Amino acid sequence: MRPYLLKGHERPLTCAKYSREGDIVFTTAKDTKPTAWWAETGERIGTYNGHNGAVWAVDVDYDTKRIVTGSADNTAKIWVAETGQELYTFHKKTPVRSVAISPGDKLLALVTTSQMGYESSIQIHPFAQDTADQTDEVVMEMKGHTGIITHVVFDLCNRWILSCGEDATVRKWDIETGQEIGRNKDHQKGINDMQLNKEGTMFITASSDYTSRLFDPRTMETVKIYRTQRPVNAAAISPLMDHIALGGGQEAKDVTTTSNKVGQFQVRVFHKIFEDEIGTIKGHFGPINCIAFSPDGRSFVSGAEDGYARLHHFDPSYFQLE
Amino acid sequence: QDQERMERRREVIEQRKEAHERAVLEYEREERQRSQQEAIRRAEEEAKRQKQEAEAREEERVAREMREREKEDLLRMAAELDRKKGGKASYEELEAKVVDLDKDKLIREQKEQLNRERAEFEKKMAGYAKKIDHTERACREVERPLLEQWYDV
Amino acid sequence: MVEKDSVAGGDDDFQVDPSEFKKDLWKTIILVDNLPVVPTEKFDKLLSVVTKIYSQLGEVVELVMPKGADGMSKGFAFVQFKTVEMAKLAQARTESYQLDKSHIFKVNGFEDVEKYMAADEKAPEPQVEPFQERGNLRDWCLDPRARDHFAIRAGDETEIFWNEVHSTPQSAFSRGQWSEGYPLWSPQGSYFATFHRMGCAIWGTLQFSKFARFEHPGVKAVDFSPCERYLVTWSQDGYEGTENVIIWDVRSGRKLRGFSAPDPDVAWPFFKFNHDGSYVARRGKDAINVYSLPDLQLVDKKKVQVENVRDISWSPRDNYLAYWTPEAGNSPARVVILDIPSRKEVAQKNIFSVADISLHWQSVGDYLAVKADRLTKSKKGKFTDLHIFRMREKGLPVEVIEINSAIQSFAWEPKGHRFAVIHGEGAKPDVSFYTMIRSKDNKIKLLAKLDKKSASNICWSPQGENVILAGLKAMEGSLEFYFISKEDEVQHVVSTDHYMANEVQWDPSGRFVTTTVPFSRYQHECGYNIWTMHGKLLHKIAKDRFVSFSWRPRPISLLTPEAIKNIRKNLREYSKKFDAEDERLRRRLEAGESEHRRMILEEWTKFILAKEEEYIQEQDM
Repeated sequence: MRPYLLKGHERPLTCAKYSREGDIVFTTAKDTKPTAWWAETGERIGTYNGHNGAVWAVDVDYDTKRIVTGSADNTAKIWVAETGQELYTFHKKTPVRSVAISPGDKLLALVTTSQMGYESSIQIHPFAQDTADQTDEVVMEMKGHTGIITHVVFDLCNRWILSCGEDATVRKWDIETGQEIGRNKDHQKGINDMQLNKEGTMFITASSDYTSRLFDPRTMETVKIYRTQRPVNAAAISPLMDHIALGGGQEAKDVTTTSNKVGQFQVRVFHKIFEDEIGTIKGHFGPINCIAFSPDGRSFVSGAEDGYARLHHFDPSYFQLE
Repeated sequence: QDQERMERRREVIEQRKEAHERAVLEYEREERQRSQQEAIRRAEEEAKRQKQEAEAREEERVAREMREREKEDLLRMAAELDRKKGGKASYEELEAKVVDLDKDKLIREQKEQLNRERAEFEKKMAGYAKKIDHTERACREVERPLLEQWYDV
Repeated sequence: MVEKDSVAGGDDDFQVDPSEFKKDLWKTIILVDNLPVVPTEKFDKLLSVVTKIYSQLGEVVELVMPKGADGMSKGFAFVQFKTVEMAKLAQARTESYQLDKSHIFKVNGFEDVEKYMAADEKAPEPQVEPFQERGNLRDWCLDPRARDHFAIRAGDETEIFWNEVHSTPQSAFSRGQWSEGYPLWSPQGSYFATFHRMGCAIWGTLQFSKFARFEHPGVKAVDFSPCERYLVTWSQDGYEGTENVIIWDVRSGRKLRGFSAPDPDVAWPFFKFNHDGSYVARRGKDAINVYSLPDLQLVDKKKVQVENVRDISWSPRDNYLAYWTPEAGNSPARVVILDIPSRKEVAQKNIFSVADISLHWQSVGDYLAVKADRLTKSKKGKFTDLHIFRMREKGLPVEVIEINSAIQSFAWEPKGHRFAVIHGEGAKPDVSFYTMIRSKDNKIKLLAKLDKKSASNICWSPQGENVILAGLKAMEGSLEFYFISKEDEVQHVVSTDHYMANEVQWDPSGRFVTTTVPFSRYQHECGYNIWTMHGKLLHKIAKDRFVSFSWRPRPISLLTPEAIKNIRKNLREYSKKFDAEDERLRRRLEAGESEHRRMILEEWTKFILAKEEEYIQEQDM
């Protein structure tokens, strides 16, 4: 395990995504500058300058041509991934908390925050192939969550969209009709993260109720539960091993002593099927907010409240584990 | 005229005499000053030399003490090791040994000895724990028939 | 094993919900026994007397005094009140009421009344305690694997577990809504006492069947005698008409005597029982009341007069009662050991300039340590002297150890000759170990002094030799395990910690030790750790809303010293057997574990295959 400390952000990290090829990592933070890094070496490639508030989320298109970011400045932006050139800005009434590009790059889901009388909602935009044709047009809007929607993901076949939020629910929406077609309320507290596995057959959630759950998106039923002793902010499914990685930790305001031990800011690796903890990877000095596995499952990146992202490449011995 | 000449000549002589006297005085003054400075310089040099000598002596003393202390430590370590190994080496023997041994080796030996002791202690504790456990279980086993017949009287 | 609301309801027995009145009609009825047996002519007179007594205490709904075929009264009466409270009050007030010289009321419980009501009214049998098969109260000691029980309180729930070495603790018993207050074990582990609004109940055997209940509304605390035959209950508020403190006979469930609450400066437990349950003592004002048991009459019908007595303490093994009195005027503070019942002073000691004194008996009464906190001449500094009586030597000699700083904690090695003290100021006090075995200079010998330790508590194993110096509460749970060999060598075993722990508890056998972090202390990681005697962590159990942990104490062994000696002699044979047993168990558990994992994996594979099938079908559609 050789960790690289990705230095560049000045505020807590919010989101991390790998490009499909796995060569680039995109990170966003509560500073205004989404950043791209080489996934092999952790070397910084550049930043995307233009937002005026915390950036909450990023997603990458199929061939890493364009990225989409959502920000607390009430906008979402499309950028040229390679040059950092700003292509288009969506203007919303409230902060954009989550963004997702549909498989096939045809649609964009932008999640707006509940604030000042506005209900939180998922807004589906066509994602124009040529940005010159891009408009603010919303083709579908999904509402129903109480409080903030923290994450949204597309089904791999573009039939439905999944969302989770502070109201501790996961909901499934029909993309065609905008109807809620499934819901799970197994979590006891707000859900902070949600990721689909590579095949799109399972998804994982991370909740402040100290657990992470693996769900079957078809039935919306809990399949597995991973229990920790701290709020879980991030969860990712390994595309290679039967493992999952969880990150979280005690919120700073709840930590009475400064001891790192108490906060439990480690990345925890669990066995996906047996639900037991395999190991922990320490290094962060604050709660972990995001985790992403590289597409080949040989490395992962974690971003934390301490303002750093850490890039870990697993040792060969890791792959010997069952 | 002669008188006049004589007069001038005397004057000249007088002047020369005075000039000479002044020169002599000046020379004497300078000479005095020079010797004074020389004395000061010499005194300073002497003081400096003495100070350096004192410092060197002190350094030497400290170094000697350190050497002694180190040797003592090593001797103590060696004695301890020797004792633990069951040896009964005399002071002179140990001293000879310490001179031969290098410090790192002695420290390494000591560390090894400590590890050995620790392992031995842990083994002893494990044996002790097992004894307590087995005694308790045996007692309970023997007590069981008595307890089966026991009733609250 | 979970038993829910089955035959013996714990809480339901004490319900006083008004809506339940009709159902629980019988609870409003009391049976008054020991009335005079009178002929018909005098019947009405007696009826009116009894009616008068009871109508003063509550609204009487009905008063029935049965007559026999011969016209004579039966010597008892049923009184029904409007409310349960009135009935309870009346019962409490008239129990042992003296009607005349030969008739002292006996007012009885409700269950029996119900039975009588249902039975043929004409032929009530004299009241007999119904025989109950109570089972062997020590059946839990018969566990073939010699495991121990412990009780857990988390939230409002109570659960009993078996401690396991090779796997996590196994649930042994639980019961919904078992106890309102925090339950406790009796000193020898025979009973488990639970708290309810109307009193306390005790449970026993492996089935935790109800053994007895003790009606004492508003009960706040209970205390068993060391012999487990007596129980003291304390209701702080004291419902009107009930005493604050009641002493009960555990086996019969009978109330022996009620008392009013003592002076506020007397700490719970108010009553101190001697080792064998033959006496109980209570500190009064300028006197010690020593009662004989079970009659609870003052020994020699008079108190032991001791002016300004401050604390009393029985020897755990002999009928010696120690007490102390503070300095008064020119007379020094005094520590006295009394022989009971003779009241003879068998030993005493005067101590000057004393701020406070505490008495510490060694667990089998071999020594009594008197910890005297004293003031320096300037009255500003504090230091502590230990005055130790040797109880097994002729003349009970006393020795003094001067510790030049304040002692924060003192603890005897159980059944041993050694003790440890934590002394000195600040967050890093010193810890010293001493032995009572006389050295050449005939003095108590200092074995070791450990400097600057994060220690607030000295926790000796019940077997002795092992001791934990624990830094609890403010010291955030540091734990240092020490081993003090028979040869008095103080050896450090291991240093570890349980973050935020506030309690250390050894199991009764001294093989395991628990540290606990209650919810109230640190909610994120509340629960308990079970360690081996030498500080190896066996189990770390996180428990939501964890409150408390308590090992079930064990009764005094029935084995003779010869039997134990014999066991020690043949330990090698036993060891062989136990090692083999452990190995078998370990293998079985391992096999079970891999079998378990195999099953999980199989299920998962099935699940994934089914999902793939679904997916393919969806694609085809």
